[in-house]
Amino acid sequence: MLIAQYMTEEHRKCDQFYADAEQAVLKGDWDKARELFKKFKEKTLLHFKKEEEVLFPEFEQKTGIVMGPTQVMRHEHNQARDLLEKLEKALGERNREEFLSTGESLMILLQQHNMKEEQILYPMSDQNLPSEEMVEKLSELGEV
Amino acid sequence: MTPGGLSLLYAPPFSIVARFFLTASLFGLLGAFLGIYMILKGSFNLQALVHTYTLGFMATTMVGALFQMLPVVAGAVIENPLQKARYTHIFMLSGTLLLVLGFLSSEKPLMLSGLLLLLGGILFITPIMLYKLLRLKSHTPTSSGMRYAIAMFILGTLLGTLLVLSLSGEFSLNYLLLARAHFSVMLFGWVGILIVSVAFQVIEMFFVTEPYPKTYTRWFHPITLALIALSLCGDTWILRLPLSALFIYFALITVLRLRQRRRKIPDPLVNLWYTGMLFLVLSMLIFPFSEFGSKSFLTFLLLYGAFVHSVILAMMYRIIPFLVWLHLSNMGVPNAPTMHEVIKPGRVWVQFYLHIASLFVLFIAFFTGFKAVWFLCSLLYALSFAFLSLNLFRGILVYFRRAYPQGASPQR
Repeated sequence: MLIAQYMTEEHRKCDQFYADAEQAVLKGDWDKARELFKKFKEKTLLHFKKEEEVLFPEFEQKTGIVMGPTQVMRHEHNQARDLLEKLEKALGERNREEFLSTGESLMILLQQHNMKEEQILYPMSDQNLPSEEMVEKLSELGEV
Repeated sequence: MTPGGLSLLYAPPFSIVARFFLTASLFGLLGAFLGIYMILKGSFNLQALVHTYTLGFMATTMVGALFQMLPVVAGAVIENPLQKARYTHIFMLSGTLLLVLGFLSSEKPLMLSGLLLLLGGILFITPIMLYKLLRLKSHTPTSSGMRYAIAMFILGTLLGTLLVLSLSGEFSLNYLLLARAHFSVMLFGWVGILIVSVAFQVIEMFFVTEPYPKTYTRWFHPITLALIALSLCGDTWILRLPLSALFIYFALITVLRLRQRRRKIPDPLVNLWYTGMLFLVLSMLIFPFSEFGSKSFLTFLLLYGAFVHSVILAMMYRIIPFLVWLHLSNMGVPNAPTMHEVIKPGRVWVQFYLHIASLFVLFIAFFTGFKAVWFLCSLLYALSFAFLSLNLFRGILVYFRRAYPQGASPQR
C-alpha cells in the first residue's frame, strides 16, 4: 500500500468522525456529542503523532529538507491542537455557538492542510521512502 | 515542490483581500444607485451598468482572491504583494469609475482615461500572475485553471480595449463580432474557468465532499477554450450548445457533491452555491438560443450574473472570517476569534434571503418591465450590497482591532 493511500484514508475517517460529532451537537445530544468528539480528537491526534514521530523525521532525513513543508505541517498541527482544546471546552460548557464556530475554523484549517499533504507531501514521501515498510511502521502506532 | 507555496503561513497580508473585497461590495452598491439614477432619469445604459458589476464587483473580487490564492493554493509566490496590490487596486478602482462615467456621459476623454487606468492595473498584475503560474513545475487542476483564466482575462481586456477605441471613434472594426468575442472570453474564459477551477478545490475543502472526477478536472480548461472558439465561429445555436453542456455538467456535479457532503449542518453558503448552480444551469439553457443583443441575450446575461454573484457571496463569507482567524492565529494573538465570531451565521442567512429576494424582484422587473418594480429591485440590490459591505467591514475591523490593539499603524 502507498503512504498516500494509507494516510488519505485516515483523513477521510477523521472527517467523518467530526461530522458525526457536529451532528450530535446540532441535535443537542450532548452526551453522544462528547463521546463522538472524544473519538475524533483521539484519532486526529493519533494521525498527527504518526506524521510527527514517523513520517516527517524519515522524510526529513531522506530528502534533507528540514525547514520546509514538514515544519509548516507541524505548525498547523499545533494550531489544530489549540482548536481541539477550544472545542472540548465548548463541549464541556454545552456552548453550541462556540463549538460550531470553532469547528468551522478547524475544518477549513484541516481540509486545506490535508489537501497539501495529499497533493504534495505524501506523493513525495512515496517517491523518496519505501512505501510498504513505512505503512507498516505507521500502523504500529495504532489504527485511526 | 515549492515549500513557499505550501501553507497559509505564507498567506499575503490580510489587507490585500480586505481592500479588494470591500471595494467590490461598494461597487455593487454603486451599481444599485446607478440603477436608481437611470430609472429616475428614464434612460438606460447597459454598458455602464454591466461594467460596474463585471469590473467593479466581479473582477475586483477575483483579482483580490487571486492575490490570496496564487501563493496559498497554487504555490506561486508574488514578491512584495502589498505594494503590487496597492498599485493594482488604485488603478482598477479609478479606471472602472472613469470608464463607467465615460459610458454614461459618452465623453471620449473620460472613456479613454478610464481605459488607460484599467489597463495600467490589469495589464500590470495579470502578466506577473501568469508568469508565476507558468513557472510552476507541477499543476493541480486549480492552478492550471488559473493560468487559462488569467490568460483569458488578458485577451478579454485587449478585446475590450479595441471596443472602447472603436466606440470613441479611434478606428472602425467589426464591432458586433468583437463584442461577442469580448463577452465570451470574459464570461466563460475568465469568470467561468476561474470559478470552476476554484470550485474544484474549495467545494471539497469548505464543505468536506468527494473530489470532482479527475478526468473532468483535467480536461475542463482546454475543452472550454476550444468550445469558446467554436461558439465564436458563427452566430448559431448549434455552435454554442457544447459550451452550455460543459457548464451544465459542472453545475450538476457540484450540486451532487454538495448534496453528498459529509457535514450535514445547515449552511447558508451551501444554499448560495445551490442558488449559483441553479442560475448557471438556467443561463446555459438559454445561452445557445440567445442571439447577441436580443432580449433573450439580456436574459442570459442576468441569469449568468446571478450565478456569479451568488458564488462570490459564498466565497467572501467563507474567506474573510477564515482569514481573520488564520492571520490572528499566526500572529500569536491569544484566543483569536473563530469564524462565527467574525461574521455571525445569522447575518449570512439574512444576506442569503436578501439575495434571493433581490434576484426574484429582478426577474419580475425584467419580464414585466414596470418602472415601480425596477425601482424596488434597485432598492433591494442597494440594501443587499450595503449589508454585504457592512458585514465585510465589521469582519475586517475585528482583525485590525485584535491585531493592532493600541492603534499601531497597520502594515498588513
